[in-house]
Amino acid sequence: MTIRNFIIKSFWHFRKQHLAVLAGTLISTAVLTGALIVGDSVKFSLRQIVDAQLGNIKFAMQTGDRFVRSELANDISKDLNIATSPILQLQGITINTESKSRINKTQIYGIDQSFWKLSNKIMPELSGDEVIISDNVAQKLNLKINDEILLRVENANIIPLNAPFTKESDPSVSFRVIIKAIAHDENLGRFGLKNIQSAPYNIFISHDYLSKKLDLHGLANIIITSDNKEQNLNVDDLNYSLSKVWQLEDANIVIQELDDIGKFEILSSRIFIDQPISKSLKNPEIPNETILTYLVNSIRFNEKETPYSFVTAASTLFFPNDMRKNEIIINEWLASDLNVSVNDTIEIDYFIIGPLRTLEEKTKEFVIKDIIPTQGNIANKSLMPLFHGLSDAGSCSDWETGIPIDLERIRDKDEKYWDDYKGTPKAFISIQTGLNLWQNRYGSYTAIRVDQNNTDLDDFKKEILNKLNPNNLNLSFTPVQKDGIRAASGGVDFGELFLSMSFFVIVAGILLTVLIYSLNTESRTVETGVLSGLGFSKKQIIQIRFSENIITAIFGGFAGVFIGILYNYGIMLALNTVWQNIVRTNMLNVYIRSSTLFIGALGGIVIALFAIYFVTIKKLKQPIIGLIRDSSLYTQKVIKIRNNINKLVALTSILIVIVLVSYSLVASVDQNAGLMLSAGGIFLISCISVINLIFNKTRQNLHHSQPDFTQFAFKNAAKNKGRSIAIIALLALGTFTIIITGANRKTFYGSENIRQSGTGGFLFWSETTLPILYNLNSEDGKSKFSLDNEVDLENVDFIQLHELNGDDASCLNLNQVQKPKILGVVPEELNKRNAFSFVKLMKGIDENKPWLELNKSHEKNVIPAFADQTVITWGLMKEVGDTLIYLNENGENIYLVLIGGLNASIFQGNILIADNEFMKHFPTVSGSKTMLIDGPLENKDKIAELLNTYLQDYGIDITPASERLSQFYSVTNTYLTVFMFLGGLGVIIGTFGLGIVLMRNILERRSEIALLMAVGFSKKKIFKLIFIENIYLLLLGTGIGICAAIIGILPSLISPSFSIPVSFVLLLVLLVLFSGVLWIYFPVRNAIKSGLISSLRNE
Amino acid sequence: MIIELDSISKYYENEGAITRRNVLNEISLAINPGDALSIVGPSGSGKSTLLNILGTLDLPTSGIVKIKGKSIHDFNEKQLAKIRNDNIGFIFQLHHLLPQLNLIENILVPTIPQKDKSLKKSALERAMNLLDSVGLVDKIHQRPGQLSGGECQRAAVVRALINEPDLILADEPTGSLDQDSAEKLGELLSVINKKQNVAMVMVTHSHDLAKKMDKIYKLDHGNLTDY
Repeated sequence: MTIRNFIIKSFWHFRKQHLAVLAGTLISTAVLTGALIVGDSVKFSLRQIVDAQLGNIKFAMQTGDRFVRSELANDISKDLNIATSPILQLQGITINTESKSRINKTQIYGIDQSFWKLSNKIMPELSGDEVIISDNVAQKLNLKINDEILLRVENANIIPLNAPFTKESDPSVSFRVIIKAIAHDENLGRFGLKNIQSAPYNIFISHDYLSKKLDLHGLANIIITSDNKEQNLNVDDLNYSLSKVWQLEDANIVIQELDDIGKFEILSSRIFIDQPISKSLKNPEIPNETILTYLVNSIRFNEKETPYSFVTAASTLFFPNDMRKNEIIINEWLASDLNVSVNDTIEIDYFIIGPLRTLEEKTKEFVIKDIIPTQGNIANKSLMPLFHGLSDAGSCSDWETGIPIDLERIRDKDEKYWDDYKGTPKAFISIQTGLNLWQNRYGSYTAIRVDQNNTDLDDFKKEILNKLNPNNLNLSFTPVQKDGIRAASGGVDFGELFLSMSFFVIVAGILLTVLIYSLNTESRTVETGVLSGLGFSKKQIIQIRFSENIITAIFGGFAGVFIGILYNYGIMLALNTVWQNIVRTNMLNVYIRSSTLFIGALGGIVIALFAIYFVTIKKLKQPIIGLIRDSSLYTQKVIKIRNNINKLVALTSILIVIVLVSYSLVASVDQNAGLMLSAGGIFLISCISVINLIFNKTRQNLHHSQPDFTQFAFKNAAKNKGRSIAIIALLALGTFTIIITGANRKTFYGSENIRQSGTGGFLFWSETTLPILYNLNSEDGKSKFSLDNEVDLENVDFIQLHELNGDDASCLNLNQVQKPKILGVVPEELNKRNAFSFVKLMKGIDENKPWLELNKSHEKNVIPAFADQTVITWGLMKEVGDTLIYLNENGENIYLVLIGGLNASIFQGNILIADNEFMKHFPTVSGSKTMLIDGPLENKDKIAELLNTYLQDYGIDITPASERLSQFYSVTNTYLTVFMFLGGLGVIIGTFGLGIVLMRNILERRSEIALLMAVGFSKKKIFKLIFIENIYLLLLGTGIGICAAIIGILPSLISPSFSIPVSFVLLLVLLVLFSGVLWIYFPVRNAIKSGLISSLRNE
Repeated sequence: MIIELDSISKYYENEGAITRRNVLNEISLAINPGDALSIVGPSGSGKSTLLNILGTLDLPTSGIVKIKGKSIHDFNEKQLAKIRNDNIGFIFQLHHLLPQLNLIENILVPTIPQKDKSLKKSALERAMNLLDSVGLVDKIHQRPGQLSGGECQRAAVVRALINEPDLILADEPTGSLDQDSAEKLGELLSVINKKQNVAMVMVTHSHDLAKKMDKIYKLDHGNLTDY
């Protein structure tokens, strides 16, 4: 006889018992493996989505609001021998004119055939009005090949739309196009450079056609590239190549020769020369003139006034060195018009153009220093910048300036001046004064002049180009594929998530294993004792038990892996369908890695073996005599120690619960919810300890009277204390989990209009496809959209937010986001409303006025920022106090310090900074595409209707703020549903355990039942006895779970803005009870009715 | 001397009891090779406790137990297990044969932890001889459930002898047997004692069985006296 034979024989003999252990191992392994495969599958699917989005595209340069030559892509391609493609990308609205259905926020890509070379398939060449649409556009608008659609495309311009004196133009350009093909995922139909799993709505159109429609000939704002043949291209190579091949046009620089004065003039096609460029060009070694020409509203002296004139500010090289800041040189024409002479003081009125084209008229006094000829070498029309709509106007009445022009003020002599001298400035001031008055976020100068010094124009251009760095204009390549893969693999780990959500099922599986194995061990207690008596050491007995069960555990582990795969298929199916709220895509595929299967199997086996080891060790601690006699022979000392430990645990935990609850109720602290949840959990432990003590006492109590049914049942439950407590614990934990989850489902129930709620009390969150360039709160702004005559909009406030495009960092995006969208908010607007609430604020932040903290100045380029706490924790995987780094438009790093985390709000997915900081760092962002709308609740529907009507062409999406929040809540709620589902599964396993224990108890108590029958108990009474005994366990378990859960959600219960979905929670508890009753009723009924009676008779 | 008890006492504090219960009082006893003694006494007199202490399954509350001159109080659990396996054979009131094993396998179970290779090697032959001597050689492949109570108990005796122990401890070995079987088992134990020179301590209610041993002790209220 060898130990191996002994183990094999035992294993086979007790195979039915092992089957039950196998079931427990199988459950925990299946859930563990399933959860791990979910993690792999989500990561793999996100990676697949990255591949579908990018094809062979490895790098991309996105130029933001700027445009570069399309030819630049070709130049880089030649330089590095790689495939490149220029894209003109704009936002637009797609309309199916037949069905009147539309998609706002369509991505319109002007491409050429080089684009398709970066996918694995070649699509038909586009010409004229032909387009290729992505299949989601086709599906949503019910379109097919050769259908006609209307495109309304954002009217982009080289000149920032909100730059001073930019002529007003239509916000969009509309044209009809014919669908030539439909692009599926495999041929870049999903193309997009954002790291998000949801598919964008894409329209691909001929680059030539689109650029012609938008007057952006030969320009692009995205360049994409492949890798090189050696597959070793990196961003530095690309950026170096870019700096080698780029041209002045790519920096929007124009250089012209002013031969009459022997100078080169550097201009910007964006009117104002970008500050990084002017900084680079203002080399003190090269004598240069800096010029800033501005259109003023009037120049006045006493009662006399000259309307709409250009005034030039220029550097001292241009004018006398002793020019003071309040001095002005005027031309003879103006002197004559105002009848002024040297030393007279004149006034100049001018507009300062703020965000959203808000105009503020200011006045400045100047003393006339000199009067110069109206036209000459210095003063001539070349000083007027190329204001489109102004410089090309035939007469003053044709001016399109972007500011209100009162044509009645324009006199005949003004028209004549325009005819004779065009925009020749009438007055000149020092450059320093000009900068003080008119420098703006788009630039400081309208021209820089440099002496020619016999230099050739081409040489000068090269010289200038050498001074510039594309990076300073935020022109650089990024490794989009690498970033995409990183974002896909670094996002929410669904493996971990499902592991944590499956925690209760895993625990239930382990408890079931422990419970069943304990029962098995108990049935083999004598064997253990005999082996000890025969000279087997504890180590040898553990070895035997362990080896015997290893077979079960290994088999359970491997079988569990296969069940885990099926479980995973179920979860993935649910994620792609009923739980799609979490993942926002139906592209999740099952991906199985052998290493994951191995880890899952190993995990399940180790867990089972640990449980087996734990139970065996516990059993072997009993005296051998007790084992042989199959009775507990713990010494009174051990029992006393155990009782004392129990009392200590019970008292300590009750005390902790009282302290935690009192502290949480008295002190208003942020961590209340966490503390109370802990209190609930500890209360559960204390209850179990108390029950343990009661069971001990019940076992010891001697009754001198006839025991009633309840006492009898309770005594029986106490007899197998370990089993009873395991069942109570399992049920209590399950009920606790389910109620906590159910009660934390996010609901509103009327709290959505409270300012401190996640809606901020705002009526709507609105997004437009095209930017709104005007302040909708101003009369002028309202009139631009014909909103001024609507009475229902009189008391409506629009909080217009500037935005820097970025990745969606909300819970709707599964990828790890590095640079979320930035919103520029006006802190005062939110502060005066005391809107939203904060979960966490950085130390030192004024808790009463947190919004105003956004205005506080910090070190250079350090900007305070807020975000939703969920975004900080899950989207960014950061904490309050951490910093996000962005590049501003000058190519400088800016540091966004997260000074606070908002409670779940409609801002989810965005980073909030003060608008003035936003405009300082992202000056060319034109207009606003995101608005918060505040107004009377009773007019809600009417307001939505009006805005939808008037702003339809801007592609407005008006979402009630509560609906937007509920979209985010739906994600949380779906997670909670999953958690609850898995918790429910755990409870079912728990009640299943209850059934097993019950059946085992009945088997062990056959003689007791026989005795009861012998003394005259009817079947019905015996049924009642066993039923009551087990109902006790069920009620105790669920009761403790309910009480612990109530403590856990106490802060929410007493919060005025919280409403517990009572009926939902009640339903869950009833389900648990019902399931428990079923697991008690049927085994007892069957046992009493059939098998048990016959087996008794046989005995 | 195989085993020596020096003034051992034992008391229990059972669950629920307020006062302690003295089971054994200052008992001294020495067992030499070939000794055959039985201990009689009323139920609850501490007979089994004394046997368990002799078998190292239990420890006295006070006093010293020495096996082959060495105090067992200095031994750890592993060493005690080895002592049981090498030197002591147990026969319980119930046979406690393992249901998963057939007869021969049950007999050989104590050889599993046996370190003596020669003893281990010859175990099967020994088992067959012993089974032959108790008339069970033709039932070696049967499971305990297929044997009668007397057969099982005889098998338990063989199991106790398989490692050639110095001492057999039998706790009410005939308690679960009919009179005929009990008589046969008593004879068997007596023969073993005589033939194999194995010391034997038997706890029994049966005076007939007790008489088959050389010496009878009576245990009453924790005190061991000659009978």
